[in-house]
Amino acid sequence: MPRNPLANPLFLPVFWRVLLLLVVGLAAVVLSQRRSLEVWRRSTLFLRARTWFVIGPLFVLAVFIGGFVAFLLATFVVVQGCSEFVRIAAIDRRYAYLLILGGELGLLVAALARDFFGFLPFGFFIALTLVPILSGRITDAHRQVADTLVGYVFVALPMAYIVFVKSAEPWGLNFLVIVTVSVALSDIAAYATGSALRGRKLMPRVDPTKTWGGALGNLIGAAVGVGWLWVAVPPEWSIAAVVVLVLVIAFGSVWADLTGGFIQRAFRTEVRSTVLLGYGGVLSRVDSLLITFPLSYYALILVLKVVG
Amino acid sequence: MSEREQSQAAQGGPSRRRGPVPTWSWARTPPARLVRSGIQYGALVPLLKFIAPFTVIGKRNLGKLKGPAVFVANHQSHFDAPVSLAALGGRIRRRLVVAAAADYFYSSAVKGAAASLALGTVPFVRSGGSSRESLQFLKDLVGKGWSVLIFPSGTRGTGASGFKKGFAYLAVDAQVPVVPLYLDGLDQVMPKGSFIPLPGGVVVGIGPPIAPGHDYNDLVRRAEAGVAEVRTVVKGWEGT
Repeated sequence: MPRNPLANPLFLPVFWRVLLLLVVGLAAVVLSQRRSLEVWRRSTLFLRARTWFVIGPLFVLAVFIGGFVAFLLATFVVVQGCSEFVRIAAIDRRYAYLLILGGELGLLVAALARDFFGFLPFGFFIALTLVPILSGRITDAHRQVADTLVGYVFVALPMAYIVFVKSAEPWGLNFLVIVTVSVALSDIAAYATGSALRGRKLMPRVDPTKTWGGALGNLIGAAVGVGWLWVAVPPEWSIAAVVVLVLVIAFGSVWADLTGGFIQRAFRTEVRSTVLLGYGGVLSRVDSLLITFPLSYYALILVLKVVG
Repeated sequence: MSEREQSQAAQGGPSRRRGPVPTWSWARTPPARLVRSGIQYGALVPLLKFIAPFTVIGKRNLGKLKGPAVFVANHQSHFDAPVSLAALGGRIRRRLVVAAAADYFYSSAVKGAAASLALGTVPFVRSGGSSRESLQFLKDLVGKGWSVLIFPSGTRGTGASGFKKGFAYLAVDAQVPVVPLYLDGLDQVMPKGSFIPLPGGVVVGIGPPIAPGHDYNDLVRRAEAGVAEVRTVVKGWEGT
């Protein structure tokens, strides 16, 4: 059920912090560009800033309201993200619809039937095999099944994880807000420091644009993100757990960049979508979060269990 | 028969007979328009923004329109008309009809009624003698202040050239401007032959109004060039 976000004492502190981040980011971009307003208004950076000013507050509002509002936002990401992956991997439409359907079902299972959450990947695989069995089209079916599975694990399943963690853990909402904001900051800081410092390439054969300077930015962004939202850090998290969280967020962001890079290169396709202005699409905006979220969740659980 | 004669024949003479082509005039009555507004604002536009989030470029060109106009667009998908309606905005949409293939959308009464009510379509006979009646009917509507959205390629997936002249007869004879639109991305969302959309982003480019002039062929050429120009702008914008 949707809730009044103002009833949650965490809402306003988080909302104002996110808004302040957006304003500071916008000011930094304007100052660094030093262009006339008319030229700047037509630039990619302006489109990105505009996009952030829409999705930032929208995200905070949706997760604090919860219920079907948050579900709608998650549905939008699953539907658009899966569709973009389908185009990147040239997946047949019948598999594509199943991927989207599987993604939606995953969200529902994560929210309403958590006991069956572990069955999702295998259940999806079984459902996928039904496509060639029932249609009788087996030419290229193994490639279609494999690529659709990659799409499921890369896009749909992590979105289900987000819903799962938010509903299963008492600090799920805090974790979601902290990780999402920190991943976003990590990406932005990587872009800024990577452009400023340049330096040696991290994995030139996988992603020729990623540098060690950018990776350092990932770490700085993750640390600033967690520090900025310290108000949302639950008291049961130890300092060691928070430190590990920062490291895993930075590591996950770098990993996601490299994964996104090799996936696009493997399929020799770059899908340009206009869903999020200034970005290549929904997938390129959320891919870091999709990899980082489950990774950092299990890292945190492990540290809390081992260290306390 | 010369073009002017063809056009005069299309005007149907003083009797202005409707013939066998139904006009579905109830769909343009105030109650039906109210229902249509509700459907479009309450369901169609939000649904489109979810399935095919669209970005509109060149909307300021619509500010130059002072009366009815003929909107021409490339045709790729069944989503073209709804996305165009959503992109043009409420001010234009309120008095806009969509010329829809009579043999497809009006093949059954239920389908025709649904399209007329939800999208404001009117049946347009694409070939044969009744096509002149359809054209005349559209001219009557333009005379009453209605704008017309038409896909002059005739069928889906034919690109932004090879326009048929029907829209030019309409614009020249009624002396209303032609506004070129270019829709990009809908061939990925729902191409010809598919019946379930695969979501994705869409860009709608709106070009500056083109004066009708007095030459049908010239207007067809200028409209094709206008749509091609908007296409260049849209593709350039997507590359940023």
